[in-house]
Amino acid sequence: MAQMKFLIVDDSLTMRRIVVNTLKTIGYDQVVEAADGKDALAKLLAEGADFIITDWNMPEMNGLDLAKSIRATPQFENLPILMVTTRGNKDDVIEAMKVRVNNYIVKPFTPQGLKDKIDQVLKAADAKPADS
Amino acid sequence: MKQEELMTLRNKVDELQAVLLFGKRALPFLEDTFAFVKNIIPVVEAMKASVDATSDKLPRASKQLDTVTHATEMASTEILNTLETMFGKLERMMARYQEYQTRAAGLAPVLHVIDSALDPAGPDDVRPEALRRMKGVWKEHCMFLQTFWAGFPESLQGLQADCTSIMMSLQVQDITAQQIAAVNKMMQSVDEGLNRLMRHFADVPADHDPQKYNHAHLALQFDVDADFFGSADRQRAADALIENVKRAGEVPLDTPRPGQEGQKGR
Repeated sequence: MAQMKFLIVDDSLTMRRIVVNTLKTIGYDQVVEAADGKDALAKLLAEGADFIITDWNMPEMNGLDLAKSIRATPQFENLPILMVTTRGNKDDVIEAMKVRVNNYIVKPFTPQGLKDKIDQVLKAADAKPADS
Repeated sequence: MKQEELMTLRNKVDELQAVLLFGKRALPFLEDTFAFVKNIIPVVEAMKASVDATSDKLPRASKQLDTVTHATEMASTEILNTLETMFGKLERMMARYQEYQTRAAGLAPVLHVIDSALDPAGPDDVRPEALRRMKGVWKEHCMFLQTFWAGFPESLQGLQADCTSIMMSLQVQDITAQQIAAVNKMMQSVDEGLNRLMRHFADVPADHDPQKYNHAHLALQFDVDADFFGSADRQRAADALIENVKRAGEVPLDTPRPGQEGQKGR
């Protein structure tokens, strides 16, 4: 199976590098980076991706609006989205789930925590029967 | 004088009397008010001086916070650069070790032959003592190599784990940048609020200059509750909430893997 391509979206360069390096340690080498939601959408349309890891608080377009836009685009309707953010309030989690974010990580995260969440999302995607 | 004119005059006198009575009652109040305003002027002047100083100090403090955020960002970048170099070196060391293991496994039959050749042939063998000594040295060398390499992979993995720990700790830079941006925004709000209040008492600029707080490293979207500690508890709470919602079935969360037949997406 071809390796999955991740799109990492965060306005913090430090955080993007941490996520990219963490993905490498757990076996995912193919990554594309974006600094905000608008940039992410452009790169998604131009280069595509198999999995989105996005921050929430970003300029231009935040992670929540990015998720909404992705879900509103037919070709990306079912693209896995993992929100990685400092926001940990109940209302925030519910907001994220309403826009069909697949799972949620509260910063600061651990490499094992990120791996577990990615595995959970992929396992759930495998478990769901395909639409006819 | 006619009766009507007398009535008009009387009414006017009554009105004048009422005005004078009102004035007599109002006068002490007016005197108190004037005294209060006179007393308040020095206080307002002192307030204005203080607000002016604050309006000057707050933007400077904001600039200092910008410097702090910039410095931590630079430091984090330097550390990440070094860590990425270390990760690369550790990967190469592990690859060399695995290469060594492969070659050592290939040499095993040869080593066995050497080992056998170093055994003294029999009672007539003129070499027994020398051979025994050589065999002793040989065995010692083999044991040394075995011990030397025994914990090598674990040591490498330990180093990798330590580097990863350092890298994960750098998440503090993102979180503190958000906390500092929140403080900056608060200072800006305080400055604007004070200026708005003082407009009633003094000539202050009608519009607050937004450029005083517009610093590159502070102009980011932030979470007021960003915190480096306690994320494990908040993660558990988020996981429990997601699980509950999934079970309740209110929000469809699990989407098929992209590329599956019949699925939309890549």
